[in-house]
Formats: sequence, C-alpha cells, structure tokens
Amino acid sequence: MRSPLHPVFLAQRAYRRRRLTDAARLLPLAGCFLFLLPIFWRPQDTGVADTASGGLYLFAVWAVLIVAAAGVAAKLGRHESDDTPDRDDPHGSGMG
Amino acid sequence: MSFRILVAVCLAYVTVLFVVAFIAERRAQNGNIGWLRSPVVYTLSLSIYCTAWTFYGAVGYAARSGLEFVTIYLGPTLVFVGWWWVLRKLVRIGRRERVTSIADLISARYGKSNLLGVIVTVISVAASTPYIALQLQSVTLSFGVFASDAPTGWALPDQGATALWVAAGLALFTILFGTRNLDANERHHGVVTAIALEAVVKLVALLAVGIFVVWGVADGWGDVIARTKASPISQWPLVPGRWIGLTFVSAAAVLTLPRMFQVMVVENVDERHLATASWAFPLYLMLISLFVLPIAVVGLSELPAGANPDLFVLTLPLAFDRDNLAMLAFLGGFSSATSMVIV
Repeated sequence: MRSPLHPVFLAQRAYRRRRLTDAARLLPLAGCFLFLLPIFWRPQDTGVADTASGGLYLFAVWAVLIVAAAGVAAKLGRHESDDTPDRDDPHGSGMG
Repeated sequence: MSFRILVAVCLAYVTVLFVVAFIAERRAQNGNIGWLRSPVVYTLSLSIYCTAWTFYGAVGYAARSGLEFVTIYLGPTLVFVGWWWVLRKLVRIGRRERVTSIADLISARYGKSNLLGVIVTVISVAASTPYIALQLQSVTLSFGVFASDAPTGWALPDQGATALWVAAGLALFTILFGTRNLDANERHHGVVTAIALEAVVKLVALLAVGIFVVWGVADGWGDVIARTKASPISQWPLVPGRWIGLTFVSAAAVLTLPRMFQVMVVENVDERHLATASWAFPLYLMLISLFVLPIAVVGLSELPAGANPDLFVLTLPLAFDRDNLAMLAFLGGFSSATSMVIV
C-alpha cells in the first residue's frame, strides 16, 4: 500500500521502522514500571493505599497502554507489509 | 426459572456451538477461509485464558483480597504489549519447526528429544487435569445455584451426574472437531471459531452483569466508588512480593499454559495477527476485569453476609429477580468452562 505521502528515501523508512520497533520494545517496560509503581504508595494519613483510587490508577494505565500498543502495532504492521513481505504469504496484504 | 429451561438453554447453546464449528470446518475444507483467519477471531480465541476461574473466581478473589486480582490480567497484558520481545519469536519458531504442542517445542529445541517431550507432556497432563476438574465443578456449582434458588418442584440433581454429562458432551465435541483431523499443521478452524464465539458470549455476559450492577443496583460509578470506600476491601494492603510475583507468574502462564500455546502458536495462521492481538487482547482482558471490583463490592454490600463471593456474578442478578440476566451470566460461565476444557 504505497501512498504518495511516503518518502522516497529508503534510509528514512528504515530509520522510522527501527524507531517503531524501539517503541514496541519499550512499551512493556514502561507498562511494567507503571504497574509496579503502586508498591511505593504510602498515603500519609492511613499508611495503606486505597482500593478505589488504586483501581482508577491501574485501569487508567491499562487503557493508555492499550492505546499506545494499538498505535505502534498499526504503524509497525504498515511498515512490515511494505518493506518485508512475509515469506509464507507472498501477497503481503496489509493487516486487517 | 425451572431447571428444565436451564438445561434446554444449555443444550440449545451447545447445539449452536456445534453448528458454528461445523460450518467453519466445512468452509475451511473448501478453502473458503475468509474471515475465519481474521485477526479478530485470533484475538477472541486467545480469550480461553479467561476460564470459569476468571468468570466466577475473579469476583470472589476481588471480594477477598481487593485489587490483587488484576495481577492475573496485568501479566498477560505486559506479555502481549511486549509481543515484539517474545511472542513474535515464539510464533516464528513454532511455525518453522511445525510445532504442534509445547512439549514438541521444548523437545525441538533439544534435537527432537523424545524423552523430554514425554516428560513435558506428562507434566502438562498432570497440571491440567485438576484444572479441568475445577472447570467442571464450576459448571455444576452454578447449576446448583439455580437449583437451590428454585422454589419447589425439583430436587437438586446429583452433582456427579451433572459433571459427568457435561464432560461427556465436551469430549464428544473435542473428538468431532479437534482430534478428528490430524493434519501436519494441526489447525482446527471449527474449534477456534467456536471458542471465538464463546469469548464473545462470556464478555457480553460479564459486561451485562457489570452494567446492571453499576447502573441498576448501584447509582453509577460515583456510588460504586463510595461503596468501595465503605466496603471491607477499601484498603489496598499491597505486598510487593505478592504483587510482583503474581504478575510474573501470570505472564509466564500465558506463555506456557498448554491451551494458550495451542491457540497462540499452533493455531496462528499469520504472524501479523499478533500485531492486532498485542492491543486487542489486553483490551479484552481489561473489559473482562473492568466490572469485577464493582460486582464484588456491590455483592458484599447487598447480599447476605454468608453468600459465596465466587458466585456473585450469578447470585446478584438472581437476588434482584433478573432471571434473564442470570441466565446470560450462567451461559457466560458455561462458555468459559467449556472452551477451556475443549482445548
């Protein structure tokens, strides 16, 4: 699916692809950090974290992670099918 | 609601599953696969991670230990979000080596060692047998809920007999659509499609109960949060070791459970489906667990003290005379149990 918007320079495309894979690698680490962050929560008044706000925080992180993963996966899928058609599937159709 | 209706609905549901699996199989044989190999079906089939344990157990878990239940879903979320690290390679190796099970994969890494394959197979069988028993138990338990709830008319049928009939039906299904076609690439379109359908049913059922609980019983999210603060699980005594450990174990489980391996690697038809699953499967998990805490909290506050929290998903709608909703919830639990047993 080549659109006229894509740059002609291969190096630039390879560069973008590498940055995308970097993002794909980084995402789970960021998610890991954010999910483990509540370990350090110690509210001053009670000393024990609160279920309601903790739940809101976890689900917010979860949602952000999903949106970010969707963004990376969509872009990566487009690059993948442009640059290196899958050996098993010579048509290399775009992802659904 | 009579037990007869319950059994009739179950049978009708199983019949639909058979028909769907049959049609999918037929279409695959004719080479007319089309939507059968779409990333959506692949993602939905992954949802066998959520068994009856999730469907009933997560609420019970949340009612006992609060937020800790999400670790079971955070681990897989991280694994799928990080598909580029592990899953991509796993699927690629699985396809190149024509791996058909996790035992096959591990033995393939060590020069197709037969002994190693046997050992891994024995471990998997030993580990999944009690797990399957647990699923069957959940089905019989949920039958029991409806039975004890019925005013008069019929006695609680023998639980062992119920479990046996359910097991026999599932075995028939598995033989018909699973082991019957042993081809080299071991892909079972019928089973996968049926599981995808069951995934939709259990998600819809849990969401329906959740929506009913949040906006029907409670008064929206604000009320749920207020109830949470007042409930016995208002505090979140997070033990770092448990939190990290459970997340790690669930992450490992999603990679190594035999049934996950089957749908994730063996039934994978296209590596690009992983890209979609990398966000769609975490989304599924999030939607599944979204209403778990509200159901637990509202169940704790509305139902009598001795009620089994593992069955809140069923007993809450029943307590408010929503028989249809309870039936849907029952089908959801039934789906999650059966899809796990089949695979």
